[in-house]
Amino acid sequence: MIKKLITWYFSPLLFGIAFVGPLIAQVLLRVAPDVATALPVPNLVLGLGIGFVLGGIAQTRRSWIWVK
Amino acid sequence: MGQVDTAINIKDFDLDRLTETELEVLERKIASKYMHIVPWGAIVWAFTNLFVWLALWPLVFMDLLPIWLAFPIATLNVMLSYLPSHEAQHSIIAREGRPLRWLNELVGHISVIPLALPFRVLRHTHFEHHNHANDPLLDPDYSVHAESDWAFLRKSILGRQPDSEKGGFNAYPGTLERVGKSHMMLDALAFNAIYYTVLFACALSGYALEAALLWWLPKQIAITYIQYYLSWAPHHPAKAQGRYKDTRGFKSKVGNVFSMGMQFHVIHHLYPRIPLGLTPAAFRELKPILIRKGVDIGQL
Repeated sequence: MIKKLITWYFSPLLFGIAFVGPLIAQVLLRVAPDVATALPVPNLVLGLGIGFVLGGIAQTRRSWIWVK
Repeated sequence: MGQVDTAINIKDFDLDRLTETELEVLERKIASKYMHIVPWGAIVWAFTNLFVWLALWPLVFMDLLPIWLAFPIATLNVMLSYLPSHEAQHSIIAREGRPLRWLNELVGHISVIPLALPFRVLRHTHFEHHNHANDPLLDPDYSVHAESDWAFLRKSILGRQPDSEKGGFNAYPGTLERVGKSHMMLDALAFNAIYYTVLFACALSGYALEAALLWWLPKQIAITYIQYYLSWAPHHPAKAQGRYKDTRGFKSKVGNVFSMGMQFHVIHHLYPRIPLGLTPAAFRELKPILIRKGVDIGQL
């Protein structure tokens, strides 16, 4: 149980959601505030979505980069 | 830094007349001149570096310092955080039982906080690196060795991926288990848990960019830099093993300071108790002996 919890906490998926997602949202707001505010969804939701996808891919492929 | 004893000088000896045993005795006597000197500079460096890095956080969060300025400072801090701990790993500040031992251990622990790496893990895996330098199976830092600088960069980045079992620091658990110190992985677990928690907490509070540029990205850059100058460059091509063969001298394109003094890393592997700041002087004095022993001293 503890091992599973630790594995989950350090997993690429959680990192994608809890860090990469908010980071993308914040970068979007800084770099292109007009685009970020004009989006049909809040930029945080978009960031979390992208973070989820990237983290999920990294979790599946066991790599954040495409080079193997 | 204290004073080096000048009683023994290599210039007073005709090396060609000395036997191998006499040469080794002379080598040790000369090296011992540079040992047992407290590296006060490294101690000040450790505390100052950590203080500056920690100060960046409130300064950035309170908008007193722009993040574009804080990022290069943080990167420099994280890059510079390893070496004071490295001095402490080898008990250069104070050996066990000495009055300043507490300071040695304190410097070891606190200086690597920006790297989010635990001192005890670094110390015991580093000893194994010294004992088995360039051994593909037993040297825990062997995974970064590659034919060229670019190949190193590739391996370094790949070694940090989740699927990398032996790349980067992923060889450390196995090394600790082999030397009976696997319980120290709890330190690594705690450090990583704090590191991830800080990143997540900052991100979820609206400070993801700040956390990325004060810690995550500086750490990635620093690890690449440290692996390059401490593991790859001084041991390249990492084919030979043995006291005078596993480490080389090299002339860095960015000079000795910007290569963290690693041009003279061969001295460190021969005499790990010589403080970093004294390795150039020790190298210059020992150079004729090193040449005779067949050490690759590069263009130095």
